[in-house]
Amino acid sequence: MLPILQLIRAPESVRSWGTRPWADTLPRLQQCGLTAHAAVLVARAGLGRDDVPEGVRRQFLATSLDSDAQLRTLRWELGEVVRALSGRGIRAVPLKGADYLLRNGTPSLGRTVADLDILVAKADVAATTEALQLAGWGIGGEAVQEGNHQLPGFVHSERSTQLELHFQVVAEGGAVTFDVGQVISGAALQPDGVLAILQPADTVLVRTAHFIRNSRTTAAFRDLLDLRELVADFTATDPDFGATLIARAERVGLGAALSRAVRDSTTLFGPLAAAELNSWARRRRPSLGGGSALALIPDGATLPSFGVRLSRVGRMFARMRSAYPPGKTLQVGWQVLFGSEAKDA
Amino acid sequence: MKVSELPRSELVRRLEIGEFLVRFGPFVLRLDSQDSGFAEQFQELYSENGVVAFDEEVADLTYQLRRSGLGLWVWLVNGAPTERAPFPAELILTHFEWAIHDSIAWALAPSLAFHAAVVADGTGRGIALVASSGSGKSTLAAGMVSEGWYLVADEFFVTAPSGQLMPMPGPITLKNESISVIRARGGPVLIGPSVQEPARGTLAHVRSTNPLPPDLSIRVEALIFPTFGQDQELQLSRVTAPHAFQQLMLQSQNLHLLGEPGFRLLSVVARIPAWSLHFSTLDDGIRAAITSLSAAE
Repeated sequence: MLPILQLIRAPESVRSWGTRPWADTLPRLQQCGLTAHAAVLVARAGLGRDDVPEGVRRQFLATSLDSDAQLRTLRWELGEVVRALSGRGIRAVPLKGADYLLRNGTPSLGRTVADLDILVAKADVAATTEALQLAGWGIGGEAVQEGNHQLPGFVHSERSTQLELHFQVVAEGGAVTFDVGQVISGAALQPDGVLAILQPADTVLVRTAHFIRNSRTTAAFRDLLDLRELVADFTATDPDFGATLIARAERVGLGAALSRAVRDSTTLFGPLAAAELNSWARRRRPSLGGGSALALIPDGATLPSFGVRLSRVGRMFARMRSAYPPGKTLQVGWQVLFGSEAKDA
Repeated sequence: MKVSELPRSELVRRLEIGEFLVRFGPFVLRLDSQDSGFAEQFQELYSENGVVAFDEEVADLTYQLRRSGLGLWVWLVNGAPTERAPFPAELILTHFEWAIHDSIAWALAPSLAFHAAVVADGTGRGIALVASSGSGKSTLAAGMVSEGWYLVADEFFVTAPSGQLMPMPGPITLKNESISVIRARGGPVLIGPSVQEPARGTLAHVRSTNPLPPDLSIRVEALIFPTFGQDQELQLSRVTAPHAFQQLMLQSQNLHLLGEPGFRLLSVVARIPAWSLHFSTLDDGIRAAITSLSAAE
């Protein structure tokens, strides 16, 4: 088994590692932005300072400080969003890193975040944009574009922090029919009257949708780990979470995508905490339909790894592919990134 | 073992299989390159850095040189390409330097790093030249090295949480006229070939041939905030600790990561006697820097 997978599956086992497995694992963790998270997993497994080599300790400490700083910024910017949108009747739903941070869930521990993702109803985009601009966030492009799922990124004029304003969970026009209105109305409004926290099943499905449209293999790796940890967190408080998630996924058209993600996550990290979800994913095959040909396009992630950016046509294909389950795409990526061993893991 | 002591063929072999580890300040860097030209240049400029056996330590950061097409190259840092555009073969070493500068500041936490060059005399009394790029700090540092001062660090003035300085000697990058000025001075410096960089003009890397003795304890006793300007009058003026604090904050590379402990560490550094220096000739700048150290007594 690849050492990085061993670390995630059984962190206590790294106690016996020499320098070779660490030399193999640290760059992979760094590529996936998981070094600080691995530090948390290792600490949770009861390993002390002397159980990892000095270079690894240094990396764990530096990346943990980096993660702390990023999460501190994210929390502060969430407060600024509340201040900007307060009294306007807009519900803002934090997505991904911000969502996990507010839940204080396992995926938020040692997480690195590039920006703040916020979902609002399409009808609220103009008012939200205006409010954010008044609060100092500059917009990098035009307003809502059909076929897209978010506005071009906002950058704060003084703090340079980045914010992504979503009005859809996935690009429109594909096989997925994620009713964003239902997602927002189902989210739990917080006492501040602005932020609303996603229903647990939707948190998992947003991550699944992200996994499907991800053009970077390293990010897809983290998506699958998030999926595993989110399911574990939610199942710990609600034993029926697996059934709830399956029903919700099928209702919004993400059943095939979720089953794919569960199977890939299981392949890499072992079965998920919800037994029902595992058996359902084994039975349910993705319906590739017209997406099967697109699914064969090599994962764009491997190209940037070698210093090559996707061409305009490549980006177009990647966007088209984003609406479909990834088919063989991910395996191509794993082999390039992690070597053929990944298949046997 | 030092880089200079490693047979070239062995260096090339280790670089080709991605198992070459080298010390850089507190770090171990792992390098991976298929380009033999890089091996030669690297061995020239990093000759004093220690070589680490691959099974001995785990690298903090990994740098991989890769072809990106059309005869251009890119450096990957920890597997991801840097944000700089692909470059021709003659700029491989320059971009390696930049890849280090761009990537290392976060890894230095919980130590605090500033944009600065640090030089020291034979007794270990050091001067930190704290300024952003284009201020003349590298030229001033190279000039002092040519006068026999030790180069403690270029680009990174690093203070550990204990308040102790962490030496990070590496090559100094000089630009345009500075290259001929330092070449003309001679002294214990080795200047590499000049290369053309589209945005910055002519660049060359300088190494001290008078390496910092490993057992020399360095204490920074003067902070200088230098500004080079054609035809400006020489001016060395003492600045207050709050002013130094502000300047240091502007030049910090990773303060944002450290939170409150970072500010406490910054206030310790800001208590070092500090000067603002405006100069137009290298000799003036060096003289003033030495004066500041004497005055710090």
